[in-house]
Amino acid sequence: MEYAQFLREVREDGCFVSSEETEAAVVSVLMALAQVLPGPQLRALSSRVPPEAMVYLRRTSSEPDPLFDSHLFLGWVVSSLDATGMRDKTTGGLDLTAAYSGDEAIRRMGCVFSALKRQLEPAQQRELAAALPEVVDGWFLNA
Amino acid sequence: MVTRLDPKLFDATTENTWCAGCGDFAILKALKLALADQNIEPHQVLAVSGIGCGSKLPDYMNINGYMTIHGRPLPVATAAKLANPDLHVIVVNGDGDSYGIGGNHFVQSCRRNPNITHIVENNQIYGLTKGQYSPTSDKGFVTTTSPDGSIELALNPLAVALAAGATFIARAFAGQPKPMAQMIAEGMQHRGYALIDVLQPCVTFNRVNTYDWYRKRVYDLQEEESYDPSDREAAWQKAQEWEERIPLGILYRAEGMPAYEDQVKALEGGSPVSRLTELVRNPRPEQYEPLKEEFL
Ligand SMILES: Cc1ncc(C[n+]2csc(CCOP(=O)(O)OP(=O)(O)O)c2C)c(N)n1
Ligand code: SF4
Ligand SMILES: [Mg+2]
Repeated sequence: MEYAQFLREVREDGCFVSSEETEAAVVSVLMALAQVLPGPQLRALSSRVPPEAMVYLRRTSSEPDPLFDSHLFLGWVVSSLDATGMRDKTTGGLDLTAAYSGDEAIRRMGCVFSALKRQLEPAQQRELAAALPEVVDGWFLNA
Repeated sequence: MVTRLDPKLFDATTENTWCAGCGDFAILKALKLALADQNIEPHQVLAVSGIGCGSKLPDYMNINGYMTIHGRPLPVATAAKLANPDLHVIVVNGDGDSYGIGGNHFVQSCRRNPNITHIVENNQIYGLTKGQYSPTSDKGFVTTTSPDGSIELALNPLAVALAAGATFIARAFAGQPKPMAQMIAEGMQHRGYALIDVLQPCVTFNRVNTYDWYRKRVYDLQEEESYDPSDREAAWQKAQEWEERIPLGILYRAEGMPAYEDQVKALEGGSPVSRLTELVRNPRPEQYEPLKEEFL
């Protein structure tokens, strides 16, 4: 599949307002996957995504950090969000940037995961999910 | 590292109010693992913090905790260590708390060398108060209090610690929790003041120093085989690196320096807490008065 088509699918699925916002979500999810997937699963995924997306699946260290968990995974995606409005969690006050950023990040991540899943056979999907940290596996399988 | 105790032993039931994806979660996890790996039980630990997002950490752990007013955890921790040197005392606070309002205590602790471990959640911003620039914000950083970009040069905590006489100086990254846990454990085993400055992405208010920003720059000092952490000159050089390449690991370690409490005369006969405990267990009223006199 072509990268532009891949991005279009994610954008339509997630009702993203701009192509920049769509690509930011895609890139952050791919980079987070690169932090957690062991070499074989990372290579398998790389071979199924458009070439432009492959660069984001590179990891500098040889092995994933075993303590990398769903909070860290989410951190990569939340960092890519623009202001999302509404109430923030830090003091229970009003803040235009904090918002329900976690919920929004999980929603966006789901759109990227489902586009990725369409590139994978069911067995490959299960194999990939098995290599993801707890909770992230559920986000992936339910997407 | 072989895990002995279950890190879940340190879990608390308090509702966590950190933003989703905050780097503080990784610091919490690494600290729990470091304690479990060293077989240290919850009642043997005191975590002292100040005010800030990162300073909420003691509330999220099943250990003894003490939240001081803003910037004051180091003197409180030093006092706790003097009263009860058997306790593992950990200070955990943000960059504003440590290096801004608590900056004087930071410098004095470096030269005083109490046997405490200081974990700084350095997100280069004031998170709790919604995004003002902090002492470690890079020059030019735009925030609500620096709309045209911050004017001052960023404080270099590792260089300050080295100049002030700290005996253990390390830097970790919240995006790599396993080596961070190792560094915390080594800091705790070091006799004297141990600084572990943790690069901690604030996903809500710091949109510059993100996980990706750090990941692109950090490298492990251990990969440089010739690097010797006991070499003060080499540590000074490494402490200057920022922007392009950021070293992680133990920058400096001086072994064999006496800790502050090792040199306090009043502690020669045992710690106040252990002596009082002994008196409670084995009451000898004639000893109360001299003991009281000694410490008043
Ligand atoms: C004496 C005093 N001055 C100012 C404040 C307001 N205040 C609370 S937290 C904070 C900054 C916290 O920044 P940092 O220590 O970096 O922690 P973070 O929230 O980023 O984790 C400030 C200025 C206060 N609580 N007390
Ligand atoms: S404001 Fe920043 S430092 Fe505070 S909890 Fe949120 S992400 Fe963490
Ligand atoms: Mg801070």
